[in-house]
Amino acid sequence: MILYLLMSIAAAAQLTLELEGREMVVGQTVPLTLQLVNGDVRGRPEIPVGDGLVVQFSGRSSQTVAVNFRTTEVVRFSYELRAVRAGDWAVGPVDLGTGRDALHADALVVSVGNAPEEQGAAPVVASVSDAEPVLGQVVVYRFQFRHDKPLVDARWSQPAFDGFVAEQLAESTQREYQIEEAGEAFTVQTIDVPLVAAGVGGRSIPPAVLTAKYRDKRRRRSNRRSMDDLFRDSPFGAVGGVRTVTHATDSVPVDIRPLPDGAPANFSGLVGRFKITVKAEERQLALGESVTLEYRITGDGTLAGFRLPSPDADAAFRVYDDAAEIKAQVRDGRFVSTALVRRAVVPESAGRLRIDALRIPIFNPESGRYEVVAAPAVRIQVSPGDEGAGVVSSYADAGETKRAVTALGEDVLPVTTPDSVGDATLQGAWPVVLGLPTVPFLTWLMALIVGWSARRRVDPRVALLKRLGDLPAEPTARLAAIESIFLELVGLRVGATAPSVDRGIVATLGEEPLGLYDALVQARYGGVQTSLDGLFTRVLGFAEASE
Amino acid sequence: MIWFLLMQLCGTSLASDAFEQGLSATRAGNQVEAVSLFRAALADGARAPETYHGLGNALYRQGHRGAAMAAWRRGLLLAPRDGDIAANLTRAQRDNQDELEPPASHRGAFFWQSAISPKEGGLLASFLLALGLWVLAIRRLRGGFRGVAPTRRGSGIAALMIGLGLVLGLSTMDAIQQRSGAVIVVDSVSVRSALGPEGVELFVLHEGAEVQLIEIDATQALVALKDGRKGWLAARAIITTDPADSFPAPPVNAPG
Repeated sequence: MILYLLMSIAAAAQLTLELEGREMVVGQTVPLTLQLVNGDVRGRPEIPVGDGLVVQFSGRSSQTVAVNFRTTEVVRFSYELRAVRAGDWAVGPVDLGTGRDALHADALVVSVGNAPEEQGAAPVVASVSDAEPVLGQVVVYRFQFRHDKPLVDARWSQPAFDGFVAEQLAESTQREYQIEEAGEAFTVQTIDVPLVAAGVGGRSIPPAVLTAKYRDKRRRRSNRRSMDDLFRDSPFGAVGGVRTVTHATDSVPVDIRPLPDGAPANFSGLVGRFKITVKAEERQLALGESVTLEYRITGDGTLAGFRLPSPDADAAFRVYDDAAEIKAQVRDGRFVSTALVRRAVVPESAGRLRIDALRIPIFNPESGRYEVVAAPAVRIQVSPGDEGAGVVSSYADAGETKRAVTALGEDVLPVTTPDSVGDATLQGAWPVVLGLPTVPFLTWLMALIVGWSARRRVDPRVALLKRLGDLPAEPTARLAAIESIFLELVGLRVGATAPSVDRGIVATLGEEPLGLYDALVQARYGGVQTSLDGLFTRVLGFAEASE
Repeated sequence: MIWFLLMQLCGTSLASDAFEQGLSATRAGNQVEAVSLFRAALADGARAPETYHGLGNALYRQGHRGAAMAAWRRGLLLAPRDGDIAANLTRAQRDNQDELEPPASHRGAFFWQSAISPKEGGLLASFLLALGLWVLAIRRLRGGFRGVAPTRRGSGIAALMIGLGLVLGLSTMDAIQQRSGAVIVVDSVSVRSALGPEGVELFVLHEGAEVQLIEIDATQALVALKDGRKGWLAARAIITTDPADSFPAPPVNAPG
């Protein structure tokens, strides 16, 4: 027991703020929890929040857990956090003076975006962040779906973005949240697609289509059965059915304007609002050493292919740039991109080195003008290093002059020269198209006809056997029929006609047929009384032996 | 390999000097001559997607947008997977005044029509039918001419190939039927309810509008829109999109 108490006391108190996600939109309410572990507090802790947020206490719960003789008491204070203004706002920090010690919960930063676009009764709506962008500007296409019915599945078809190309570095983002309007709860789903304007002129983004499957509750029937009561409205059963509805947005007209004339000669091709900062690793170094400058450019335009401009050829230092680390994303309908370029600077002489401000000409669509964003100059003290250090001829390259290809106009795409041109129509191929199956078809047809006619030919031996089974009852006629059949069987075997068969021909077939022939002759003339049944059996045996 | 040989066999090797000269004229910037050379190549039998592509480009540069669209549409029907022709057509469609739904790339379940040309479909159908029939014929021949019933071996394969061949054949015929379209090639043209003075003007179509062609003679054509409206217009105001038809000279624009 003593050990148990000691362990309970030894448990350290903790205070944490818990919030699902860090992104909200104006009008959205999310649960916020302040969790106190092994602490003691009186009353209701206050949570300071930024101006764009409103917090409201909603309840308190506590729980005691014992694991391995250690008890943990968890107290949760629940709040509702509502976003009322767009911007980045802090939640917390929270400081509590509990019974044992002072506790602290770090602040959280919540990014609050604009309220979902007003869409009236329309379940889906599409928009772009700027309907009149300039060439090269990034716009965000937003598809918004709002519903208040139970949704089973929803799939949308992305429209063709004529005049735009996909932003290479950022992917589409999808969000889902609940909002309340006029006392009714709605679920809002948004899909943001970053696009770069690439073709000048008026365009129309065609309607985006969404196929939604809603769970459709049926009315109760008056004569419902007990099984219906068991599963009606059950989340496990399929009762209620699914209703599929297709929603389509309106087309979104866009007018892509060309970049205005008067671009500076060293225009970087960047279109958007940008800012650039620089950070030096160290400010003092010896000749022969290098210093790394970190240039970070941030903005709402695409930075694909971005490179830092090279210093002047007569600069007293050499530079080596790493490949730019570019990150881009869409956050709450806003495109944000950042490029980090590390530039190693190698001074070529001792003394006070000034690395001039880095100036990048851009086009700002908001002001409609070409502007220059600049990182401040950096001053570095270079001390003389080892003898000879830094006294090297500059092997800096002539400067990186690559930049994104700027579209200046459009025209039809040219013909690729083929090896030869022929008739690509079906009419030109008729002989082969018809000829290919005709040959096997005729072959098959011929085989079919020949086989059919072969099946129609009657086997004479079978016919004779059939006659043998159908002999007349009258003895004389029966004997004549048996004799006739025998002679025809012999004729078949020797290849002669029945009337031409005589004793000499039968003798060529052996003793047994000859004996039968003699018995039949004798029976015909009454020389020896032989039973008809015996003759029949012997002729039948001869016929079967002829097979 | 067999497919390649088939395609080569049907190419008919109509390598046309006129086509080469048309390309040269295009590159030299002589679009009028290029149009006449490409049309000559078509008349020689070089009804290839490249010929229609070049013809469309030359017409477009001359300002005959509707005629260029007709040429590209023909080229696209012969080579549905040619992205360059499709891009040119899409680009030209942007300047259309009439908001009309473009022709469907395929009908219903025949989804492959948007990727396989009628010639390819016809040859594939023919090839499959031939294979299936060969299997049947060989089975029959192995039974000899004695009328012995063939075994069931191979009958499933034969049925599958013949079935596929028939479906492809049907799809090809349907694709040919579908391409009975036309493009308006004059600035604007009135569509009337009937031939003659008693016909009422129903609506006006503008250059680049694509319509379904129901009937055509030397002077008049009966056309239909996707929404079901039909009417007569002057035959000179359209160029058909059937690649097998002759390609008329681009018209002098005048209201129809």
